[in-house]
Parts: sequence; C-alpha cells; structure tokens
Amino acid sequence: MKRILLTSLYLFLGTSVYAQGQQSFGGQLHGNFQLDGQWYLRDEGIDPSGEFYPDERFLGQGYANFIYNQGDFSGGLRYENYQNVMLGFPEGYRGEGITYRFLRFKQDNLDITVGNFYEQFGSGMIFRSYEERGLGYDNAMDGVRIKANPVKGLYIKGILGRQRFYFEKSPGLVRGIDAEYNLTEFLPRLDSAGYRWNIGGSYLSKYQRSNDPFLILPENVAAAGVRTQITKGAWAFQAEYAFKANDPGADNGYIYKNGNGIIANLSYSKNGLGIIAGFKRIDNMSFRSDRNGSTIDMLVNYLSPTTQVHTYALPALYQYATQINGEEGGQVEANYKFKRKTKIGGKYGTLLTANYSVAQSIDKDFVDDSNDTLKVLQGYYSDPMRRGQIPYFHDFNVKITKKLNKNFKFNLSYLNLFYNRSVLEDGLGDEAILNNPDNQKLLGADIFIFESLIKLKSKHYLRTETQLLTTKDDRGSMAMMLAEYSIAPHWFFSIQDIYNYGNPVIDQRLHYPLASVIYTEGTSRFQISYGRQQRGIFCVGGVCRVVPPSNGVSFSLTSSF
Amino acid sequence: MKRFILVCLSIGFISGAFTQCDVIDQPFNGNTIDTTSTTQQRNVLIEDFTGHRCKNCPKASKKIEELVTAFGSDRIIGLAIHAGPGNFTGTSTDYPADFTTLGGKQIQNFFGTNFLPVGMVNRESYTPSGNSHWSSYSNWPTLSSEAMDSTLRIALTASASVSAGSLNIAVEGYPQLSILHDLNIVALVKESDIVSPQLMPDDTRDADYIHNNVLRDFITDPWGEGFGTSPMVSSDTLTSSFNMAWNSAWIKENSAVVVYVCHPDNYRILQVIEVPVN
Repeated sequence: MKRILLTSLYLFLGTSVYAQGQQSFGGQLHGNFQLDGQWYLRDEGIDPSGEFYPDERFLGQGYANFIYNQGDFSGGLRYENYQNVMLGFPEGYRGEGITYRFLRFKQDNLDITVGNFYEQFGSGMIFRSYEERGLGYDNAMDGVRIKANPVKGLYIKGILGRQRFYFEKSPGLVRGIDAEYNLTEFLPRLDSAGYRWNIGGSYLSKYQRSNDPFLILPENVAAAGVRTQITKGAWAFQAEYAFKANDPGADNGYIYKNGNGIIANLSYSKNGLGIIAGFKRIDNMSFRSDRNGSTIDMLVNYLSPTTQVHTYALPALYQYATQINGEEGGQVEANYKFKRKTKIGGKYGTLLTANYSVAQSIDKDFVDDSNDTLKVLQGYYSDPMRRGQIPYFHDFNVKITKKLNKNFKFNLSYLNLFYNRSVLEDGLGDEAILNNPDNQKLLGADIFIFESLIKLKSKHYLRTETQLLTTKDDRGSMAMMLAEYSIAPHWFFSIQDIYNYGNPVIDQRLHYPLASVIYTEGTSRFQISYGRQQRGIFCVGGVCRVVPPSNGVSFSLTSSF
Repeated sequence: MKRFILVCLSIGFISGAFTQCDVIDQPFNGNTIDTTSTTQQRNVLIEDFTGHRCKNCPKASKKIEELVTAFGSDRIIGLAIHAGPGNFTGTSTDYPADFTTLGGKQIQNFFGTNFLPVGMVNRESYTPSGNSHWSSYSNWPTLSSEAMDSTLRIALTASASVSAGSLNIAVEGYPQLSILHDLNIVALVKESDIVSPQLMPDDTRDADYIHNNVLRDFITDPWGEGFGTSPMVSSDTLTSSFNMAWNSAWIKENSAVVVYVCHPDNYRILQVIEVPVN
C-alpha cells in the first residue's frame, strides 16, 4: 500500500510511472488500484442549510486488487479504504480492511473456489452476486463455490455462503445449485438444422433465524427458476421464469404471499436491421439474505431492467429503477443501418435507432386487514392477465448516428420521458397511490441531444454535447453544453455547464459548471475536476442511488499492473 | 460415470441436501407474553431516529407502540431522536416545530447514518466499522425479544421530580453479578402527546399527528457520566444524582425521565428504566 501511495504521489507530481504484470514465484501477479477524493466547498446555492456539507471537508476512498495466477491455481484479495466514504455512496462503508479474498483451483473437471466469489444463475432472477463499484454495490459471497462439467454440454454450479454487508456479513445463509444443459450437444439434428438450444434450472434457499414474538417467520425460504435460450440464424429467443416461496420482509410489508417473475426476449438481426423486444413481469420478488434489509443491501437476486439506461447527463437524471415488489413492462428497440452510397446512407452509412420502453404496476387487489379473517397475511392478490393501474415510467427515443466525412460524425437524439417521482424517488407504495392518486408527483419531459466528434488533426479530437430538457415538472427545464478536447494518448480536457433555467424557484435557477483534466500514462490515469454536482439519481442496471448536491475539487487515480 | 456421481454428490452436499423451504400457513404464533413478573428484568431502549418530514417514520413509531402494548411500557422504552438530513428533520412553514437536539445530533453522527427511519435496540453489536447496531423497525420485535431474554446484569431504580424550577433525579444501581468493566450512566428527558404536523406514509401531511417519546434534552452528557468502577459485585449499591433547569415549555404530565447504564467502550445498554416526572 505504501508503494502504491508513493506511486500515486509520484504521478500527482507529474511524473509518469508504468505498471505491468509481475512475474512472481513462477506465476503471474495482476492488480489494479483506484483512489478517489473530494475536497468539498460550502455552497449555499445548491445546499442552503449545509445539510450535505460534510464535517470532514475532505472525503476519500480507494481500493486495490491483487490477483495471482499459476496454472490451475489462482488467489487474490482486495483492500478497501473509506476515510470517510464520499457523498452519495452508502454510508455503511466505514473504515478499512480486506473485504475480498479467495483461493481457486481446477482439478478433475471441478472448479473450486473458497472465500469470496461472484456468481450468477441465469439472468439472476433468483441469484446474482456481483459488484457495481460506481453505486457502492457489492454483495460478494463468502463461502464455497463448485463448478463442474461432468458430461459434455452439462454445466453445474453449487454455492454456499453468506453475502457481504459492507464490512460485515449478512445474517442469512445462501445455498443454491444451478444446472445448464446444451441440448445441441445431445441432439445433433438440432445442430445440423442450425439451432442452438440451452435449457437451465436453478434452486436456491436462504436461511435466517427468527425470534419474532408476534409472527412465525419462515427461516428457510426457497426460490427456483427455469430458463431456455434458442437461436437460429437471425433469430434468438430467451425466457426465464422464477418462483419464490413465502418471504415476509421489510420490502413487502411482512406479507406471506409467494413471489414470481418472468422475463422474455426475442431478437432478430440481419442485413443491417436489428429488432429486439422484451417483456418482464415480476410480483413480490424482493429477495434478500436479511429479511429486514433495505435499499441495496444484501439482495440475493437481480431483476434486470427492461428500460434503456442513458449515459447522457440530462436523461440520466430520470433513470428508471426496477421495482422489486412488482412491475410489468416491456421494451422494443429497432435499429437500421442505411447502407453506404444510398440517398440516406450517404458516403459512410447512417444508423437509425428507435426505442420504446414502458413500466407500470401490476394488478393488485389489496386485502383489507379487517377482512383478513383467515389471517394468512397475503397482502394482496394479483391477476397476471390484468394490467396494473399505475404508470411508473416510459421512454420513447430515436437516435440518428451519422458520419459526414472522415473528420466529423454526430449523433442526434430525441427522447420523450414519463417518470413517476412518487414511485421512483419517494418510494411510495401502490396501495398509497391507489388510495390517493391525485397526490402523485409525475414528470413529463422532452429531451433533445446533439453530440459531435471532430478530428481536428492527428491525435487531436473535439467532442461536444448540447442537451436540452424541457419540462414544467420537478426542477423544470435545463440546458447543457459540454466540450471535450483530447490529445491522444495522454491528455484530456473537459468543460461543461448545466443551467437549470426553468426551475420554478427563481433562486434555484443555477448553473452547474464542471471542468476536468485527465492525464493518462500507460495503464495509469489521473483526473482532477472542479465544479458543482446537482442532486440526482445514479443508476446501473436498474439499481440506483441518490447523489446529493456538492461543490468542490475532486481527484481520481487509477492504475493497474 | 463415477466422476459424474462424485460431482453431483459434492454439489448436492453443499447446496441441495441442506436446502429447505418453510411454508407458513398461519403466520400468527398466538403465543401469550407473560408480563406479570415483578422482579426487574432486562429492559429495552429503542432509539428511533426519526423526522417530521420523513414519511416512513410513523411506521417506526407505530411499531414501538405495538411492542409497548405487547410487553408493557416498563419493558419497552421508546425514544424518538429527531436527527438526520435536514430534508427529513428541518423546519418549514408546514412543519414549524424543531424537535432536533444537539445531543441527538451527536448520537446520530457518532453511530453514523443518514437515512431514516432507523434505530438501535440497546445498541447491541456496535463496532466502529460495522453497521449491525442499526436496525429497521421491522426487526425491532425480534431484537427486542432477544434483548429481553438476555441476562440482567444491573438493576436500576430512579426518581425524578421538579422543584423550584429544577429537575432532580436520583438513581441507584444494583449489580446482579460481577461486572468487570466500568459503567456509564445517562439520563434524559422525553415528552409525549405533542401535537404537531408529520408527513405520513401516503405522502400526505397530518397536521394533528401525535408525536410520542420525543427526546427533549440530555440531563447528563449524551455519552454519560461515570457510574461504577470495575470490579463490581452483586452486593454493591451504586448511586448518582443529577439536576437540570426544567424547561417550562415541556408539559410535566407528558414527560418522563429515561435513565440507562451502558458500557463506556462499546456503548451497549445494560439496563434502562423510565420514571415519571413528579
């Protein structure tokens, strides 16, 4: 660690340091390192009461991974340090320590890991252990994993352990098995007909002791899933169905209803045309290894989003987050590449993409406690054939990507968003909304984006973004301009400003400027930024966290070897 | 084939063989809770971090009421600490009352959370880098039940009265077994039946919401004062007395003094009692 800190200081002083894989004891040692920090400045414009201004003034956090490989053996560890955790990250990260360590070896068709590991069954509807560092999300398992390929085409995984809960472990145990079989290996006729067909199944159970004085809580809760994936030529179809037994917990209000979910996708791709259509319905599929967990803590499963994740700054303010207690929705996306030397395609071709996604509540017939004479605490009954009444989100967008000449290309996008703030920001439940629908906070917005990339001369590039979000809801309309100038391979300069010109509160019609400089040398990268960050929601894969407003100087150093 | 069986057995052993599922048809356990004991047992302090603009906070308050109804107000002692982000606890035209206290903010800062509602039950399982001391209100029944079942290490008696504008408290402690660490004692005033607006779970404002167990002020330092020095044995009697100026804005009949004894290093609360203000 000392060496890494010295290295970072060296880099900070403007001297570059190369890092490469190291040969050690006949094997290979790899690693990477990241250090982030921010010096916060008091800004009464974005934080009038100072509630987000940290007492520490400076917050910093970092980590380093070290992985050693030799033949069929590998091992590694990760050290993490939060002094203290930066604004917007989960406050559960307090202190420092080795949070991930594992040993892994392969022998006799077995792949065995002891210690920490990440794993996934199918799409993750009943089990996914993963890390999303930008969100501060990490539900790494600590236990044993065995993978096996006992016969051709059959892949089996077994896991046993407990999930990470910041610097501690979840109180619940997780045990599961997953099998996937490639039918094409078993039925050669399928292969000769051009089919690829996989089927799979998973079973998982969590255990958490209970000592509730009022309720008999299930200490063992099981979930199971089946899935299939078929491809033939330009077509591909995949579907997964999952079921979860009674699992009363904080998310669902301690109801004993079973949960279920289905996800299906159909895609077609040929001759420049691509179409993908997806459908999802989930009902009471919150699944945590601690029944009292909340936010992003100790989730056993992962419910993939069926909405598009935007990376542009203004649409990213209103991202959709999967509603684990129940939602239904779908997404259709089509793209077509107009060929070169056609009227629309021009000299280099033109790509046109259109996407529509929608999410809404599922049908819920709530059980009035006074009428629950059987005392079974089912909470509600849901008819999968009936549509829910509460719209959560929709996003319609079209995008044109075109290269005009060898030095200039651009993207032009239009988005129409609907965003139910009561559900997605305030976390209001369906029952509360149905009882008082007029109290919902809704947002409708139109967004226009123009992005260009200009090659000025060899190794010199200028990228610009112009974004306009028009709405009368929430914080009102905003405009943004960004310019990035890069000199490959070392330097990168960026300046941007978001102006919230339509804020209904005149005092809050603020500018959010941000300037950054990045220097890259080999596998190391140093970034320093100064500016304002407005409050927002940062989402990855349907999981989101709230980002508070801040102002200050931030830096980031990453390096790998 | 031998290898296939071996693999299946290995994986089945670690995952399938012990994998169970409990299907519950009748969730209510129907157990009657014995509240007739006259000897002092270990009581529970639930520190409920809350805010009048936190819409889920009334659910936590309701959970404390349920526990008090089930176990009695002498066994379950609620304390509503209004502390946390200003958008939950700050004042405005619609929410004019300022329930925050300096001591409450110190406690909240030290134990390190910024989301509401959240609580601590007897401050069990505290570590500087951990989060296990925090619990959601849905877990309070289990944690309270476990705390009440644990061994009482020190019994407490206390009296509180207001005289000539001064609140006077006298406390006695009786170790029930040998205690090999020092003890700190904390005393505070809380008030109930305060009518003031509260944001409700359905996102509406209840102008006539009744706030209970509101922390008004610490009589001692929030981290306590020395009460006993190690070692202590079961024949010892520990005494302390405190006083503070009585705030006339507090309604005496709705107020109570809460006294608790805690470990000075890990802050675990060994015993807590609540006495009326006479």
